[in-house]
Amino acid sequence: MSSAVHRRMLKEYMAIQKNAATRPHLELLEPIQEDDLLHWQAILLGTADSAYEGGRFKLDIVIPTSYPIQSPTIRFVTKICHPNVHFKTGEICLDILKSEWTPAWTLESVCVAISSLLTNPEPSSPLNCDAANLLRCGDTAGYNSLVKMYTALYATGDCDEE
Amino acid sequence: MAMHQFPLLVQWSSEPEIYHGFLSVMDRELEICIEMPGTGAGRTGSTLTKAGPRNASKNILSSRIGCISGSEELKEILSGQETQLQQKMEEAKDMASFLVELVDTLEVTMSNRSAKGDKERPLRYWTHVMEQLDALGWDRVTLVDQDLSRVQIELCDASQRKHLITARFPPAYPTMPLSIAPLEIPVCEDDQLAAQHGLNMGGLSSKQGIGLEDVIRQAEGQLEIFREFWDVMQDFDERTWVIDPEKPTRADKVRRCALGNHCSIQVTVQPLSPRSMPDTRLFGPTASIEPMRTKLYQNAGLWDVKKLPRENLEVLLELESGFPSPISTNKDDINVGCGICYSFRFEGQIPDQLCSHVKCQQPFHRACLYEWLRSVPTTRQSFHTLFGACPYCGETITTSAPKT
Repeated sequence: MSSAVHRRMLKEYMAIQKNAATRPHLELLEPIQEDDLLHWQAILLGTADSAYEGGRFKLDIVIPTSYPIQSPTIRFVTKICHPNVHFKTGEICLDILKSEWTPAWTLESVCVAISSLLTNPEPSSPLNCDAANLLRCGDTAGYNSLVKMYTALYATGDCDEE
Repeated sequence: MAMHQFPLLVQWSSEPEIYHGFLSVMDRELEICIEMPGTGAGRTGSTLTKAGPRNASKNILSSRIGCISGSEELKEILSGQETQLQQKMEEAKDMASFLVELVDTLEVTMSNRSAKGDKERPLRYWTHVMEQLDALGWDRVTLVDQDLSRVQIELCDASQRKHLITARFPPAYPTMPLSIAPLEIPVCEDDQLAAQHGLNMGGLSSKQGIGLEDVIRQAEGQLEIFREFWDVMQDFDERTWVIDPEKPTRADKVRRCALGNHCSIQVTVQPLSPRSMPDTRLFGPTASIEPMRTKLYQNAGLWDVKKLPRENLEVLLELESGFPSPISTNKDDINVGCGICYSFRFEGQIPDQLCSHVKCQQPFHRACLYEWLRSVPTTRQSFHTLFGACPYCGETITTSAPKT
């Protein structure tokens, strides 16, 4: 199967390069090293008019050799305050990365899904309880200012600073 | 100086001592020239220019007892062993005893070579092979081995298709007959019909005495028998998208042609009556191929042997714009890759498992879909069939274990 995963990653890579202009919130999506198609990185841009505006969030993507039967493992490298992202490890709680994964998803569509997760949090399955509790209490103003603070603190400079 | 052991060496001069002649090894004569420094004159320089063999370029070996030069042939045989021989020469007490050692070395080297099959072929072989090729005409020869043992000849049939035929000449040619690799022709199941066409399925006969030209003429006869068959196949190859086989050979009589919308038709042409109605098989989602199958049966009477089978199928299937072809459509629109591995051809398989949902119809390889469904906990299994959800639309999709 390992040759199959490489062939699929190569096709995804070519499609990603072709569609580069059509993804406003995905600044970058590429293999970290050109000869290793199983380890990628991505940079998400915070949506304008959201609390993440101005932030650049780096993702680390590991493709298992059984891909696309198994989902890729994706985590935030940049610290981010979000109900569904673990603040310390960067782990993401998203159904399509776990139980709802199907081979119909691609790296590109998964990154777009993570990008839309930023503005559509799911406080019912939290990895960051503090952020989720603020939302569950209805304190949107408090939540937004918390997110803005962390975005300004960690995500406005160089992404590589962890 | 005991040079009399080598009767083919003749003394040319005595001051310095120069011998010129041949060393006789394994029935071959190798040209050699030996110069030994004169005893009292103290001349150590080489004066080989007068006496050296015509094609000698440089000394092969030289030491205090003298120097040796020889023909290219000798040099070639000794190549790689110079250092070893040089050492022996330094140790030898005189030229005669060294020559004995040199002959030994030559014998060993040459017998090793002939054991590797690099045997010299007799003149008779060369003249006969050349004669055959001259008679055939060198313009038809596309490839020859260095020793002419294998010759590839290009044949052209009446429709300007090129066919390659390989002839092998055994070392004992012409006592042994030449052998011809069978032409790439389709296998005919109907033996009787084959016999009627005077077709010898055992290949081309090449008895002793039959020349290359006769064999080629025989092969051309066979090509003529299948000319119409290849015309039909070529028409399929040029005017439709053939999705299987990937690279059809002259022997392939099956073509699977894309019809668009994930449907395809497999046509098996009869080699000896290529224009009659071939065996066909339709592939694709049942909802799409069922009406086509009905059309094939209903319109069967419209089959016209004067037309090419491709044209006939277009009439029978009521394809208004004909088969999708390389002229009219893009390959990627026809060869839709598997929804899991994204390839079209994977381990020789094409994605033939389709989602039955009309709006989805996503194709998958059986192996890919099987592996996916097996990994999903909600998939049910009944005997060898898996029932699960299409990765794309979520509708029920079934598949069975791929043949291993």
